[in-house]
Amino acid sequence: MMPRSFAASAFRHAALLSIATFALLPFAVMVSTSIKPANEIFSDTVRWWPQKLAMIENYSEAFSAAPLMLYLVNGVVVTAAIFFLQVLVALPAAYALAKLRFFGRHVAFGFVLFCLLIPYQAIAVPLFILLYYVGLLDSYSALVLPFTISVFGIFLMRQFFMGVPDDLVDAARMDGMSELSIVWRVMLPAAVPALTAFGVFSVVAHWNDYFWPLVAVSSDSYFTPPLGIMAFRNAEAGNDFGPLMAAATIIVAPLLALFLLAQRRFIEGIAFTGIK
Amino acid sequence: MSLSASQNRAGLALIAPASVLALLFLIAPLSSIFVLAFTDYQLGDRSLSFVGLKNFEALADDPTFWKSLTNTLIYSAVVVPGSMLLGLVSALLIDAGTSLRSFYRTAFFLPVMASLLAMAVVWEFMLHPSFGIVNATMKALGFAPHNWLKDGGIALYVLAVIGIWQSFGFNMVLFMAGLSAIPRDLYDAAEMDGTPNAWARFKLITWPLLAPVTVFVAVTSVIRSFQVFDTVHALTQGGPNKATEVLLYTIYAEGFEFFRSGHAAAITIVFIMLVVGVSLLRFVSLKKNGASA
Amino acid sequence: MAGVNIRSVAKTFGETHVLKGVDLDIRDGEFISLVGPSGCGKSTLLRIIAGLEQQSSGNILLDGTAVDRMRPRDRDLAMVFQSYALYPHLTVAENIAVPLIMRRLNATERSVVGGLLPSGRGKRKEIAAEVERVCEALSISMLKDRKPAALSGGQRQRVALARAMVRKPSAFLMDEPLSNLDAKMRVQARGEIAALHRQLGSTFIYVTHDQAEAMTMSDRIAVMMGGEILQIDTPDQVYQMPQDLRVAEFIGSPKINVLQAAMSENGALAFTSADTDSNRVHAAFRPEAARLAGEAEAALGGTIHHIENLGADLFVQVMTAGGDLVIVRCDPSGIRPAIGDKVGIHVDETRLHVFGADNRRIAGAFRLEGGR
Ligand SMILES: Nc1ncnc2c1ncn2[C@@H]1O[C@H](COP(=O)(O)OP(=O)(O)OP(=O)(O)O)[C@@H](O)[C@H]1O
Ligand SMILES: [Mg+2]
Repeated sequence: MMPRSFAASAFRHAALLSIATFALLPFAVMVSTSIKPANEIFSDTVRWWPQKLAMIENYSEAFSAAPLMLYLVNGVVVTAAIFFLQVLVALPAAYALAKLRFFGRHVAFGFVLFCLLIPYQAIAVPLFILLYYVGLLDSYSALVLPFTISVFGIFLMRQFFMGVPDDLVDAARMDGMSELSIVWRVMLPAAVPALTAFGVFSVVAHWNDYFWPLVAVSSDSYFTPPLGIMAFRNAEAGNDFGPLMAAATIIVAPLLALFLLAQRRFIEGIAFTGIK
Repeated sequence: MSLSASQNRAGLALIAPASVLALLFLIAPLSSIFVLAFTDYQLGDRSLSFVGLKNFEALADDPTFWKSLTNTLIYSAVVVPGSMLLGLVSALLIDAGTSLRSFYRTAFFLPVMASLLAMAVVWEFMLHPSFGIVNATMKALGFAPHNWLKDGGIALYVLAVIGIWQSFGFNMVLFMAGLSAIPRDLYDAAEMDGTPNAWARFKLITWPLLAPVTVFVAVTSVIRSFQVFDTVHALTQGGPNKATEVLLYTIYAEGFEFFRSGHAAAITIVFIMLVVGVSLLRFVSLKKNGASA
Repeated sequence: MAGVNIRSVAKTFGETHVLKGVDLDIRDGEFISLVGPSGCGKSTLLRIIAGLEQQSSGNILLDGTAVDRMRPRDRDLAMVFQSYALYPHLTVAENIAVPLIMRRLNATERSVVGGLLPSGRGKRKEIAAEVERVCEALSISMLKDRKPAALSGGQRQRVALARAMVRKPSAFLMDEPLSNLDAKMRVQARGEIAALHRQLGSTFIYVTHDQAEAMTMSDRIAVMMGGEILQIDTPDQVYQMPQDLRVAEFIGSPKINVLQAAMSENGALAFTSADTDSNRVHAAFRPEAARLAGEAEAALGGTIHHIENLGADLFVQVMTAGGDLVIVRCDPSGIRPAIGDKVGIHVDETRLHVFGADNRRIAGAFRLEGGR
């Protein structure tokens, strides 16, 4: 195409920069407030960089007022456990649906397609009752167990496995592998791109999930990061904005740092799981 | 053992763990929603009795439910076009040049990644009536400040803006994936064919070829917007005066604050029907596209 | 109708110099081919003529006027793309109509309501009639309501051609329009495009890396290599009088034989690879300029290495003592040589091409002297 004129290029940047301002403004406010002393937060003049840096005060206040580290660790434990179990359950099922002919496979796949349509929030009430009766509410199990079955994971991996050549599977059978070892020793290595995409999807969803943890746990030793920040805000009566923004920064930072480090992977992963 | 029999056994064995878990955590809960909705069950009750359509009748007479349903639809009607348009415009503008592409892409995608809850707390601070940056800006520009989250007339729209902020980057990524699948040659051909301007090329090529992606983005956006909950729970609690009461929040309040499980199940069924209905629309539109291609 | 003049056009992409000052004058109504190996800049040059790409320096003149600042739309050229670039969501008839709709209808007439305006309706009728005429000319009328996905490669190629023709442009630009067809279709399509050129009488600029296409269709051939035009001539001249060793090597199949030789002042040549004081040159001759002879009678000799029997021709590969592979064409009805035979090669001195160390042709008459 023709080289864009200066005006067109300037327009492009002007428009994109104003959208970027909209997208980034909350992050800028968050970080800037998290390093301001209270008197500057409540002053009338908008200043992005504080006259007197209160970073240390705010962040140490945030860490001492609430067990932020515990929330972060909970978040890591819960998302990791969920993803690990999802893969453990979904991969064999996806392989069976993609490559094996067995009685009921069409029904099983139809069921997967149907369940894809149902948001988990819709079954939260009975799930809650179930966990209530088995006495698992307010535990790590309550946070993890309901998500061990991911129909989306099964669907995504099944679609990917459909593209793996049958010859590869047959060659593995000739080498004497069992179907289960084919899953882990042949399909898993072949599926790394799809698995990365699913991992991004799963981790982002469960790290940021608020609805289910809110329902499932009540003692703050099980709080995940989103619950933690809410508890922090409610406890601080919402007016100590410096430490509050510091806490928000701490909660948001791990995933964003991961994203910035591997943003290509993340964006491709999301596009991949999105388009399916 | 014959080959097919052994495949049969292996297949069943491999889907067994998934099937058990699905039964426990998907099928059983989903079916019980449809049972609960016809009972008077409340959490903790030792027994339950069937009450027929009473829960639904109560729903029909419940102004909160209607308010909640209307609010959800209004929220959706703002967020879906807003986040789609902003996502599409972002994708087109990024695609139109070569400089700073990954900066913009990353910047627009940050809100998708960040925990909405933490960012809701930040938005609350930005919207603070006395020292939030939004009102400071309004005053500087000579407009009247507002109490954004406490004003029943605008609170829902404020939440919608946060919803757009959070989701347009996601739509942008999907649109960019769609754009990259359109062959460059077509734009050259259009240029040779005398399309007078970029808008004519957009109408001739981009818009029609992007149609399947657009339908997909629309359906995804509608479903996601029906699931709005985090910002409502964190910022307005459905208020003021039910101005921001939305379906998922009502379900939450009924099911987990008042423990009226039967009532919550009835609303859930409405919620499920909305979501499934929109998804089915997509299949219909795919069929239609498939037939004419 | 228009002549095209290309004046020292250069193009760089960042650090790479893709075109290094190309000069080319194309007469009105001429069929000219740009040939050259992959990556030599043919497509880039064509896209610069079209206005799809901006040259780094130099000028393009259409009918004597500089069009460097002009958009593709205003240059009145049509292009056929290698991928055909048909709009996948439009039918064949709609595809062909696009260039007319874009030029004749204004924005309101093009819009949805446009069909209701009387002016728009009249123009659309006219356009439909013209599309019909072009479809008939290329015998694709029965495909009019199909989408491109439902067409074969050859049919798509015709639709692309129809879309270019419908507007009666002053010149056609074609970028390897036949490279996606199978060998048989390609031969047929060659004939059709050549016939179309005679019938329309417009200027055709045709890019290909297939020398057979260039040889069979063009009035003149421009041989490009490494971003430069090495020679512009009629197919016969390019074949028989290559001005550059690289042209000689690129045109002709099987490839021309090139041997190292030493040239003395009086034009006497001796094949040798040894270092001598005399002037070292490349001596080249085509397979049909040589014949097999008795071992002792010729300036060159060797052992038959392989024989390719193509039915009409027999190409004999001879390994010389110096380790060069020389190809000689033989008449299959004559005496059949056998692999392993020791033979001499007699080269027709009048059809010998000599190129200097700079690859440029050295003119003159040459005499071969006894070899090795
Ligand atoms: N947009 C671009 N950016 C950088 N380099 C480019 C660009 N377009 C072309 N080139 C380079 O310019 C050179 C010439 O490209 P061009 O497409 O003109 O070759 P060609 O002669 O048409 O080859 P082919 O026969 O393979 O089509 C190539 O080395 C190519 O890599
Ligand atoms: Mg090319």
